[in-house]
Amino acid sequence: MATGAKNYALISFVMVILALVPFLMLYEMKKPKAREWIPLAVMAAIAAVGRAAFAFVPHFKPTSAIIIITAMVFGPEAGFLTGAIAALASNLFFGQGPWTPWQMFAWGLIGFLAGVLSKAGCLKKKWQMVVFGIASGYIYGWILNIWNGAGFVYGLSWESYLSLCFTSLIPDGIHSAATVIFLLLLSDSWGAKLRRVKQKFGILAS
Amino acid sequence: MESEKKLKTESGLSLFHPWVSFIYFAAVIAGTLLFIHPVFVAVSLLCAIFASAMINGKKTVFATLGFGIPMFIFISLANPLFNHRGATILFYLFDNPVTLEAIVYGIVSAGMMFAAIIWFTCYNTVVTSDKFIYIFGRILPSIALIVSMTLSLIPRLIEQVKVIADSQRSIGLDWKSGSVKQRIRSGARVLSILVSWALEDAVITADSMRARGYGQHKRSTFSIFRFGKKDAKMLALIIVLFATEIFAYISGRGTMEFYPAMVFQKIDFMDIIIYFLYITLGILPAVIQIKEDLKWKRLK
Repeated sequence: MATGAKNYALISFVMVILALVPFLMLYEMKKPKAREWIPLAVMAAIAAVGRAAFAFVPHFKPTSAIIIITAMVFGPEAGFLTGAIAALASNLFFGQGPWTPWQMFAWGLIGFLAGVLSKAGCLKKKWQMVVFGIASGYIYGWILNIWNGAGFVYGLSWESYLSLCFTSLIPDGIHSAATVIFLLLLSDSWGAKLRRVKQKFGILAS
Repeated sequence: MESEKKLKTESGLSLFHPWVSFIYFAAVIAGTLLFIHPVFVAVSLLCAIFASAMINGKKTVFATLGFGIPMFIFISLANPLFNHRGATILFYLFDNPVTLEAIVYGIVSAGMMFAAIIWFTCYNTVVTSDKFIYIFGRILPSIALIVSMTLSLIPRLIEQVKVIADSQRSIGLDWKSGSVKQRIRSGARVLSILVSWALEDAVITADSMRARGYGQHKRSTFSIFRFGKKDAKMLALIIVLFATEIFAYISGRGTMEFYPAMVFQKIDFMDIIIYFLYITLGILPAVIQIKEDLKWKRLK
């Protein structure tokens, strides 16, 4: 096994699937009630439709913003689930590929971080949201660059990874800009709607 | 054309139990990603194109090749640009050495990615979302349920957008007319109504599910899939073929030394057998399809 080229593509593919497992198992073991998860299915569906609706503009998509708004109301675990499911569901239309688990993990992580930050009271002000929106585009891009690097470049080194991140600065920037625009447009009204549903139907935040 | 397409999705590998077709694609894609070796990559790529022609039709194959070949060239070129390892330096580009080894590795890994992507297009046709949910419904029931709910919601949301937009137009808030600002405002209204509707509808769905006993017992799923003798035989064949490939990999036959210099090992009799088995694994879907087409022609 020590000889020959190492299969970074396969190794990283297995690693990211293993990284998804604890989050999904955590949810599975909680035995969720229908009321708790159905709003998340709705938001994941809207995020997937939003991705398809803006598919004609490369890298410009409302998906991250919708995931962040959901996470801000329903918490980190719900954010992870919404992100992962939005990626999986939208790929059933865009086509699944080796990138699916990476997108699930990247969007899941953005949702998770948004939930954690919001719980800590760090996403209350508009400027904080803008900063996180910008960061999220790069978090997503840099996670997917691991896949691009492992799949296409021999021996994923820091050097080749950083040069990949450098070449993706602009596409990731467009994604960030879209996320910030949709966050500013939607966070107040959709956040209020989500909070109302949460309160009206007594859905507990996790 | 449409009926032909439908026929294809309901024939060949699609007629086997979801587990059989899922494990087949898992095996063949794992094999593709595992073997970074020119022979294995070439076999996988050719088999993938052949399988895709049988499963997706020639038109789709040409579309895949149309976007895949530029990608193939791009990836082949990307590796020598990002990676300067290797002993045989061909020339210098912007003060960086471009090596023969990096170019060959780039071509091999681009072929590998290309093959994996074509295999995934076959997977998308054969393992439809209902089969995917069937498989994961056993392992992760709650996750599978939420995914299936999301999938059923997507067409409903698109339908509801039309209903909302129509009713908004009837009260004079058409998002297709007026100034840009008015249009954006009307469009945002439609979206905001959609979210309210979808969330309320979702909670009502949840309550109705609870009323019907969701969460009381283990959830059963409706499925018309039956695991028969034919499935067992095919699954056994796939597992045996894949196991031999794994054995070949562990014994060091599926990989090749690229850096610092390429080492071409002598091909022995064992290698020929392993290549033959790998080809057998790769052409399985096409063989099943051709066998069925012949049978269909004979019976017609």
